[in-house]
Amino acid sequence: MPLTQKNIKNNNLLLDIHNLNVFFNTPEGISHVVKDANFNIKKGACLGVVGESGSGKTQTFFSITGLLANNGYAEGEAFFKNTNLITCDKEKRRGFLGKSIGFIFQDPMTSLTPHLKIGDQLAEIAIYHKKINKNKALERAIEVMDIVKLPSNRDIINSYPHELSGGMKQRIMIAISLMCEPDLIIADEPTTALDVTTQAEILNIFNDLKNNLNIGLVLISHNIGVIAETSNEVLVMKNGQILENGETPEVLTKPKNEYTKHLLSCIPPWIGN
Amino acid sequence: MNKNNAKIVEDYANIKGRSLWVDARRRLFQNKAAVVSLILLFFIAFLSFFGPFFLKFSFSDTDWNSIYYPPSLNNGHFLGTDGNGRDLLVRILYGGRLSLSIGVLATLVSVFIGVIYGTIAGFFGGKLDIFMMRVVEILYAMPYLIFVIILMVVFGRNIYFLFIAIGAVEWLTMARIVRGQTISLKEKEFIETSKALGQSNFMIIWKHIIPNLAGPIIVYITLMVPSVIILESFLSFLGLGVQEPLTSWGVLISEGSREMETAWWLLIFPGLFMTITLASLNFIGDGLRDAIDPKEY
Repeated sequence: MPLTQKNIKNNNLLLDIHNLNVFFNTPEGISHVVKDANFNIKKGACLGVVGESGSGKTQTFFSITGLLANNGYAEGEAFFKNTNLITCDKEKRRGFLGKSIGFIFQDPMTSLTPHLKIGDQLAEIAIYHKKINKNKALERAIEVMDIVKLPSNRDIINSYPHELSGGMKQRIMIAISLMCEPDLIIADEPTTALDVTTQAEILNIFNDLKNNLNIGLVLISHNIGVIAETSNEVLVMKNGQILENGETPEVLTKPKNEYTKHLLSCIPPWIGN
Repeated sequence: MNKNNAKIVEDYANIKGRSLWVDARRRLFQNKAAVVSLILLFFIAFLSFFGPFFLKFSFSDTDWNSIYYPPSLNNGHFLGTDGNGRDLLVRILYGGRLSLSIGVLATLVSVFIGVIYGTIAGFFGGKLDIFMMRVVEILYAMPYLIFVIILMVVFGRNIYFLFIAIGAVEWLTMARIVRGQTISLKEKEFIETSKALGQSNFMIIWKHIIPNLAGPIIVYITLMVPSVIILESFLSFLGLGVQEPLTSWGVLISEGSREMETAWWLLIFPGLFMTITLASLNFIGDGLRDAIDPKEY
């Protein structure tokens, strides 16, 4: 794929995906969950992925990060830093995860280990990937907490996950993914479990990340409002197929696909203004 | 700003948060039965290990002038003597040393094997899990008495092999419990998160699974120690355990039961020590189970 590699160098491309297919072995036969996905992610830009439940939006990114369930497998190309993440060996992919690719999950309540202090959980990642000592890692943790707008005092890094609110935990999750200065952050419905005001704060943080730190961002959501707020490009998925892919304002105002029109018509009219 | 950060980092190590364990300790100490049991257990353990130094009799010296003395305060044999004129109190304390150390050591052996085996089977799942669990079931199906007898015959009647033999039998249950817990834990989001952050399987097991297993494991330990002590008593009763003049609570009880019609104290007192210990351990286990479960309060 000489063309693809050239693209990465020239066009500021971070992740370039070609003909990605994801399958699951089920007792009823092979289920084709993601069909021929082609898209890319640029530095400092945000790609929003919308679609209904079961449309394959999460599995697309699980396949790239190797988080598919045991009966799932992927085919195709996903170039990240000249490496095909789909076909490269597990160890190499794991070297990227947490270091250059951050992953944020839907439910912050259960994503943190209950028995470790926040500081330990933050430091753990940097110690593991960057092989630095604990004090250095903790200093980095405090820096990162600044970025996600948590008060950088000793109270939070000294508390346990059950002592924090949902919004704080989600910020900690973002902070963990920022620990090793990643190039790409994949956020899988990061605001679904949060209330609306907290949602807005988290989206502000995402906007800061992509504008100030030049991080490529993938925002998976079924909330079009969330996508409209942060993303530059939108990917509309249904039944594992990408129906539409384009600039956010264009897709939202002049949708080409019937399904996208349908999705947009679900938004109550008073929000549209 | 940087100086401030350095200070926070420095403070970090010194501050203890109110963790699950602090909460659990508080709840445990609110449980009166558990506290009384803890005190009794420490008292018995302390007596067993240090008591013999303060008594004038030895556990092995026979005295033909004082055979079958009933308990009395006058002659120094507070709990009486046995058929060889040996002081019962000293023998009970020595027996306690052995029974308690077998209880603790054999339990540690079984926890060590069981936790490693169970987490590996549970975490990796699939064919490995099926194979490992069938092995456990086959070992389960083997009558453990035959297993212990074979071990004793092959390696000789050595007290350290008794530890290993009992531990080797008891780990099976531990492995099953740990495997079940691991399977339910590995589906949790924080394990998924660790995977997404690129941590290795070993790190995930060591830092995220085993610490979260601590609750069930600790509770099971307190329930396993009594069963190990009883198992040792049973083996000693059959003559497979410790040898004279060394003794354990099981040996004392089995000897006492032969002479209970003439010398009741030989059965009653070792039985009393053992009962108190076992009851205490059970109460502590109960208290710990309630204390560690965060849903209790």
